Amino acid sequence: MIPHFSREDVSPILYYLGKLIIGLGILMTVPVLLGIISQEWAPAIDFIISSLLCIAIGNFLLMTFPGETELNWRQGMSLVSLSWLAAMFFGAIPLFLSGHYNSFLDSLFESMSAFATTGLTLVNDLDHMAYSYNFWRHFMCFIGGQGIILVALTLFVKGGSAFKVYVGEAREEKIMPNIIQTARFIWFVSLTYLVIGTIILFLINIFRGISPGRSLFHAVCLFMAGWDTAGFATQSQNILYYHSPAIEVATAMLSLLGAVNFGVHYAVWTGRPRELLRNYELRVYIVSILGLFALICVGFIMYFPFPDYLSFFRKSFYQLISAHTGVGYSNVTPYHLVRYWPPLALLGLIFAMGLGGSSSSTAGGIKILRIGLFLKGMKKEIRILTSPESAVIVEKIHHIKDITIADEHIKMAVIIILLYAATYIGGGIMGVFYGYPFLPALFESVSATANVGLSMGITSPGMPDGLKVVYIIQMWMGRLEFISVFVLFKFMLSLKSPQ
Amino acid sequence: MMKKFVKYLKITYKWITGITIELIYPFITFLAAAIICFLSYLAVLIKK
Repeated sequence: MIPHFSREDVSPILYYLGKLIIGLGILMTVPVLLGIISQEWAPAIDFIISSLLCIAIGNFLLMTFPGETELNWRQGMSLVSLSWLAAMFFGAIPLFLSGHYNSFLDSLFESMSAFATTGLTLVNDLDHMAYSYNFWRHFMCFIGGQGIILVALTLFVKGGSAFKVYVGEAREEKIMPNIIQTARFIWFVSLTYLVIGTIILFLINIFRGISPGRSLFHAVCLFMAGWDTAGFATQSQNILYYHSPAIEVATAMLSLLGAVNFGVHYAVWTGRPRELLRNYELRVYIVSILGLFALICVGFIMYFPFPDYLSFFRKSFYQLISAHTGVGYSNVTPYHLVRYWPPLALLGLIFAMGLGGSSSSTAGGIKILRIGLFLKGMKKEIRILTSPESAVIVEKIHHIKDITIADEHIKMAVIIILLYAATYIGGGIMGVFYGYPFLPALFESVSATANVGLSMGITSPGMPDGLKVVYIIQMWMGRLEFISVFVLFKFMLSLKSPQ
Repeated sequence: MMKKFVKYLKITYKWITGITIELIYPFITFLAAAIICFLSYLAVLIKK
């Protein structure tokens, strides 16, 4: 139960928010450097302006609301929700200045899509975008995928406040005893794969005849958006631009690894490789991937639009991996999905997007662990009904360690599953309200809420503004898994009518 | 000094082994999916 907010809660929230905005301003110096290296002076100036604005507003908040106090739960949760809105706003400024967006709302959409690692885009003329703007789009994915708060944890937030904001950002598991150490380990895993992934993608691009500079740029951007399951690409045709099976294998591999729980990475990297086989969540994940792929394949038995087996496997499995890990990379066009994919195959993709990746990973969606808990809960109920009344029924799973499932675990899992399902359907109904057919509207709604980024063509600069706002809210709520957003709403209401 | 070196060597060995094993796991998933896909392709050919 979260107690009532008071006006005294405002000061610490805005103090830490100021720090986070300054942090964002500092991160904007990276595209400034890229702009200078690539001699893109106008973009560099845009980033300098945006960075200075962030630092000025952040410092204003620090001076107006001084005092570094330890945050309580409600303040921590509200800070997380507000941080994501602030990041969306300030991240959108350089995008808007680039002139590649029709309105500031479109820039806000792009910014939220990047931070929430969705990958739905409203950019115009992406193929001619300056390197620094394009890098910023992908860099926002990396910051958001790691977690804005996680980035801040390693820099600014200390003490007991750290765990409260960490949990608020939809991560519950402490991989290591200390939350700062956990944050550093997550960075260590990501940076290790940043090096491995970038080298692999760089070499593939070099062998395909792309110049070294462009190869490196594409490799870094593809890695950042792939590992953090965002799905932005440097070209308007997304992964289809490369027409390369090697790039598709590499990005699919990275996104699968990105959608694995960081706790599993820790176990495997510290001499417990059997965790890959024993982990309950990972087992359910593999079964889900293969089961949903079988469903998609059955859909294609009824209607087969591919010329041969290889093309069938390449297109259909890549889309499924992209949907299930939440990466949103696509090697087919939205038109292809609408025109050639049978409804059963599309349903398979919708389910895959909705379920998402592992908990405590960079993926979005309901999360496989919750589905696993829900299944275990069902099994437990059936066992209770079919056993003698005196029997004590206990269900266990192995997830990093052996866990006995309590009713509380199942209750929380079911609540979050229902919240996601309601948001998926609600967004779909909003799409229908704006005049789109239900299946594409549901597809787009699930893609936005589960932070996937696959599109059936609804998301475009010409879509209604109201629907853009709906998708922004869905991306925000989906990324934070609802609870901290609800706490922020309660905070706002309490300020309006203090008790 | 030597003890420290051996300790770091062990950690690095575990780390490299862990990454290698992790890189293999997606390929096993791809292989299983390729088999499912092949079976459905056979069904498509039979249906034709």
